[in-house]
Parts: sequence; C-alpha cells; structure tokens
Amino acid sequence: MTTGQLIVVDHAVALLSAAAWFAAGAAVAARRARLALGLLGAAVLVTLVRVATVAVLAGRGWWFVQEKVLLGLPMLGVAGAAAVVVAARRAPGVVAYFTAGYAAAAGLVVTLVAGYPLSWSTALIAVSAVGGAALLTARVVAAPGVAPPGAAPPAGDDATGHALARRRFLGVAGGVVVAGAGVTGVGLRLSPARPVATGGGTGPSVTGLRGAAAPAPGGTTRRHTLSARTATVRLPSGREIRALTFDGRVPGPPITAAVGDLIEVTLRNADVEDGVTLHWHGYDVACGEDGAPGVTQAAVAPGGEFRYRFRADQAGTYWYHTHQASHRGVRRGLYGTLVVRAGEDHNGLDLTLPVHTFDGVTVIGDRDGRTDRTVPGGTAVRLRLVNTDSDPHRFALAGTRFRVAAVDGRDLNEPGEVGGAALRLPAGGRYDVVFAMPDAPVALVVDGDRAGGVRLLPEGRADAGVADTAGWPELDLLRYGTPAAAPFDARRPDRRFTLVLDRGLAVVDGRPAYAQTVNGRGHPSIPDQVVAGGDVVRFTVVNRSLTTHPWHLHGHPVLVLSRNGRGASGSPLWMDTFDVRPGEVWEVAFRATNPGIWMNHCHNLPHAHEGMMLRLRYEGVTTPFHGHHLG
Amino acid sequence: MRRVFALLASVLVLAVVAQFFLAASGAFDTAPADESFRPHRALGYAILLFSLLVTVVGALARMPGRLIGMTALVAGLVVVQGLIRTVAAAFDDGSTAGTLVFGLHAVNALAIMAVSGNVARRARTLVRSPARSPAGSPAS
Repeated sequence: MTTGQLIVVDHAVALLSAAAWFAAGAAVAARRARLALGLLGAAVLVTLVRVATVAVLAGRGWWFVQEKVLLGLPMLGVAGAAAVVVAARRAPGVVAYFTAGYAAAAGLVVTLVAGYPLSWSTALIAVSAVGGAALLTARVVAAPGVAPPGAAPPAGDDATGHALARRRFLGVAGGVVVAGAGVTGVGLRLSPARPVATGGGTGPSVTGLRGAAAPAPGGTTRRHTLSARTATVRLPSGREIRALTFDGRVPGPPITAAVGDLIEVTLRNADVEDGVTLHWHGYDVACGEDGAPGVTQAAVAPGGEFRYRFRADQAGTYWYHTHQASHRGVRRGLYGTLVVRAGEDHNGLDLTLPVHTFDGVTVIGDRDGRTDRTVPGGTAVRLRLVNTDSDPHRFALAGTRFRVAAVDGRDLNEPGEVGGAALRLPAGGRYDVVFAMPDAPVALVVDGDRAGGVRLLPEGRADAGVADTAGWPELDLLRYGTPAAAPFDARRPDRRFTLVLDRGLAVVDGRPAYAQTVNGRGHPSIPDQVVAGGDVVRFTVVNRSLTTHPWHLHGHPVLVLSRNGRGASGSPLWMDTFDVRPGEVWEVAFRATNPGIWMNHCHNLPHAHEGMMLRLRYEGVTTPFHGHHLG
Repeated sequence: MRRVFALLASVLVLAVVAQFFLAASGAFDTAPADESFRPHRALGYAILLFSLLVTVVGALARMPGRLIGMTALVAGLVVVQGLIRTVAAAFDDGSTAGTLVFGLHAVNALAIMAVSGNVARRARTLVRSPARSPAGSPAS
C-alpha cells in the first residue's frame, strides 16, 4: 500500500473510531444498554485498529505520525480507558463515552488542521477543547429530565446535597483548568513567532545580479518585445477564450535561440491589472532576471516596462510565464516557450508542444481538438512536451518506440528505447521525446483523449485509429537511462533542509486561512532557507497532504537522489520541477552556484498562492523590494 | 439562551440553502472546478464550524439532549460531505465509480437540510411554548 493510501485509511479509521464512541454514548443516552455494549466493543476494536494504522504509517516516516503519536493517540487512549473502566463498573458512562469520542475527533482535527510539526499551543488547545466538551456534556446530562434515572434525586437529601456541591466544585475547577489550557494555547499561538530571517546583510543586492550584456563570440542578439494585454483568442474549433496574452497570442511568441546567443526581451504591460513579470522557468538566469515580483523586481504595472537580458548558455526546452498573480495570469494565457538549440540546426521535425487547459479544453500549442501532420517515414522527430498547467498531464506515444532524450531541458545519459509506456509530466515540467518516424501513423495521446492530441501521418497514409493507451504503465524516470558520476557528493551536504508539505490553518499574507503549508506555515511566514555560495544543499521534501505538489526551485536544477527511500538508479536526473505525490518523500540536492534570493515553491500555482512558497537566500544577498510576493 | 439557539438554528438552515445555491452556481461556472467551487467549499467549512457552535450553544442552554444530538448530527453529516468528496476524488478522474460516489454528496445534502430544518422547527416550538419544556430548567 502506498503511503498516500495509508494516510487515507488512517483518516478513515480515525473518523470511524470517533463515530463509534459517539454512537456508544448516544446509545447509553437513549438507554439502549445492549446496543451500547456492542458499540463500546466496536469502539474499542476500532481504536486498537487505529493504533495499528499509526504504527504502520510511522514506518514510512516520523513526519507522517508525529502529532498522532504524541497527542492524538495518548488523548484517545486515556479517554477510551476511562470509558472502559466506567463501563466495567456498570456506571451510566454517557460522559465518558462522549469524551472518548471528543478525543478521537480532536486527534483527527489536529491532524487535518495543524499537522506537522506539533506545537505546545496546538496540544493545549486540543486538550482544552476535549475537556470543555466533556464538561458541557456532563452539564447537559446532569440537567433534570435528561439524566438517567437516579442521577437527579429530589433536593433536600443531605447526602445528595453534598454530591451536588462536589459536582459543582468539580465542574468549576475543571472549567478553570480547561479555560487556562485553552487561553495558554491561544496565547502561545498569538505570541510573536521567532523572527523570520529577512534581507539583512551588506552584500550585493539582487538588482546588481544581472545577466551578460553581449552574446558569446559567434552568437547573435535575439531581441523581442512582449506586450502583455487582454485579448479574445479564437481557437481552431471556433471556441473563443477571454485570455491574458503576450502580444495577443496564446501561447505568447515562442522565443528560440542557439547556445551563445544573447536573449533580450522587453516586457511591456498594456492593460493587465494584476501586473506582470517574466520568469524563465528552469533557465538558470542571474537572479536579477528571474522575474520574481517583490524579490528580484517590482511587478510591471499597466503602462510600465522591464528589460530582461541573459545569455543562452544552456540548450534545451524551457518556458516563460508571469510570476505575478500567476495562479490567474498563467492559467489565462501569460506563458510561452523558450527553446535553445545546441549547434547545428536539427534536420528533421522539431515540434514544441506546450499543453494548457483553457476552461476545461486541452490546447496543444495554439490548437484545440486534434492536430494532424504529414511526416515522411524515417524523419528524425523531436517532440518537446511542455506542461504549462498546474496539474500533471499523462502523455502516451502510440505507434512507435521512443527515447526520452531530455527532462526539464537537461539531456539524460544514454536513455534506452521504450514503447508502451506512458509519460507523466509534472506541472511546469518538460520532456524531449525523440524517435525515427516509422512508415505507420504515430499518435500523441494526452490524458487518454484518443480523439484529440497530435497525429503524425506518413505520406499517403490515412489515420487508422489509436490503440487504447489507458492501461500503459508509467515510465519511472528514476530507473531510466544509465548511471553516471554526480558532480558533487550529495552524501555529505553542507546544508540540509526538510520541507513537510501539508494543509493546515496558517497565516497567509497576513490573513488566517486553511492554507497550503510548508512545515506548518504559509508564505511569507516560512523562514528563509539560507545557503552560502558553493554549498552542497540537500532537500528532503515530504508530502503529508492528499494532493500532488510539483516542487520548483528557481535558479537551480536539482539532482534527484531518491524517492521513498529508494535511490535513483538510472541516468542522473536533473529536474527543476518534480512531482511529490501524496505520501511521497523525495531527496534532492544541488550545488549553490547562482547567488541571489530565489523563490522555492509548489508549481501548482493556486497552492503557491495559498501559502506554499518560501525563499532560498544566499548569505548576505539583499533585495530592495519589500512588496509581498503574489505567487 | 433558548431564543438564541432557535435563532442560530434558523440561520443554519439559511446557510444550508445558500450552500445549495453555491453548489449549483459552481457547477455551471466555466472556471476550473478548484476555483468555481471555492465559495461552496468555504461555506462548507463555515457550516461545519457554525453547526458545532450551535451544538455548544444548545448544551449551554440545556436544550433537550435529543435536540443537541440532532444538531451535532448536522455537524457529523457535514463532515461526511467532505468525506464523500475525498473518496470520490480518490478514484481516477472521470471514472464511473467516482461519479456514483459523488452523487451521494447531493443525497447527504438533503439529509443535512432535513435534520437542520427539523432542529430549527423543534427549537422554535420550544421557545413558543415554554410550558412544555422540562420544568425547573434554570434560565442560565
């Protein structure tokens, strides 16, 4: 069972245990003794099963169970044991059963709302809530007319008078303790957190970290002006989309260059209210060209402009997009492709295929529906697949064997030929797929839609339909290609950071929200990760949540070391965006050789907007921009 | 206090009605599901918290245990709503099983409507005819 499935099972068992304890309490309140006994047995059984699921989950990593082991289970254990003792004494037990239910529910709520890491504040609030609920229940149960027979005898009897006084005293004392714990917990939460590392230092400013001013010898300068504006774009099917565009086109104008060329792009904003920037996704530009608003530049407001300039030193498939309010801007069309070719022109067919979803319609390049192309047999074909959405896409290439020549722009080492395997492309990621055109049709199927996608047809051949690719296994890139020596020793990193991704209650941009969190916090309250130039840096990225998080560090590709404790055994795999699926644990590393302040975030852009975003900062580097970063 | 409970119970019913409205408007929105259902989801969380609050108020007001239990049941059913969505999403996108499970979301919504409506009606009856409420209940 995958860890993701195990997390779901554990949640289900936790919910079931709460339901069973509540049901037992309700049965007692309704004076259904036999039913109550049966439900008590069920509650105890489910509670024991819960211990088992947590134990198994603990084997997958402490991050997945910390709050359960330290708080949830102890609370439930104490309350459940008390309920069993009460039942054994044949006492009515409504309050005890309900309290066990509150404890079980509180444990689940802590998991879903607070998550990792567990804080004293969370623990105090949870214990206080359970105690408060127990006291309230006792009060309702004690109310005349509701309590079980004999519990509320007529007043005037001396002994019962004492009992009532004692009960009142216990109630008041309990209330004081519960309120004290709750207030302390809330106070701890509201007290100022330890200061988040900010700018500081007297080192270089990001504004001074700019790209080269001239092409390499023999290179040329590629000048573009991109104008961001709203436009209605008509797709081949006739469908019209109200888009945000560069130059009125979706995708924006493709930018291409040869290695050594200088790329110079002037960005203008005509009327995009949110503002706009250009981020060169996966391209290791100097920090000042990175297009991170509030960090490396101010967002370009309507009427404004900004000039980006950098040398095309890395060949490969990349893309550009706005980084300002990107959860809206990129979705509505503010993106385009950046392809840098090495050396001679490619003899053959070289197609760049950005895949984007507009209003639920898959658009490949600038076309919706199906695209047919005639390709002579024997032609060398390179398909550059780019996922510009916030969710992964599944590609299947039917009709030919192929190689994945490059991932995220970087060539793989001796990739073998494969067939009948699907490619899952993370949000923001790119694959270069190469093959020799056979004398039969080839179909690129996206997300199982056999009617759409791209068809390559040899001359004079009609399309003959596409095989069902739904059952194809996914190609595992961690075991694809041939190993080669890594450029640094990742076993002895200079810095280690753990990022536990989850959902939870956190402050995002000054407002409390049910946020997408990193280590229990949301942007911009997540402490900066500080590195020094030359450091080997290692990340452990843990996904505790139930959704996929495509992790993206700006300015550096990362070398994938392992997934779920299993080492990468194929070609060295450099990625700038890697999908951490529910329950997965990824170990990646990189050498810090590109000074600056870099965004480090989930590339499911709505998630980044909801808090899952932080900064990686080189010691001493400063920024004059204090504007908050709008994802 | 009982009046407050009756009032809050009526507000709960209105919130549930609004939730039906948001579900329908989300379903006919062209934006991605994540975005078009955002108000629906937000109100869902709000209804969960609010129904818990109403339950606590019921306990403080010493409403009859059955009424408190029914209010708590509303909170429980709201949790089930989230659960149905999660389970349906766990099936692969667009599969029939996922769609069928998700259909329960609407059925359970009707149950929430019925139970919360029942709570509000009973609470109003209790407030209007205090004589029928358990004698000697303190007015705290």
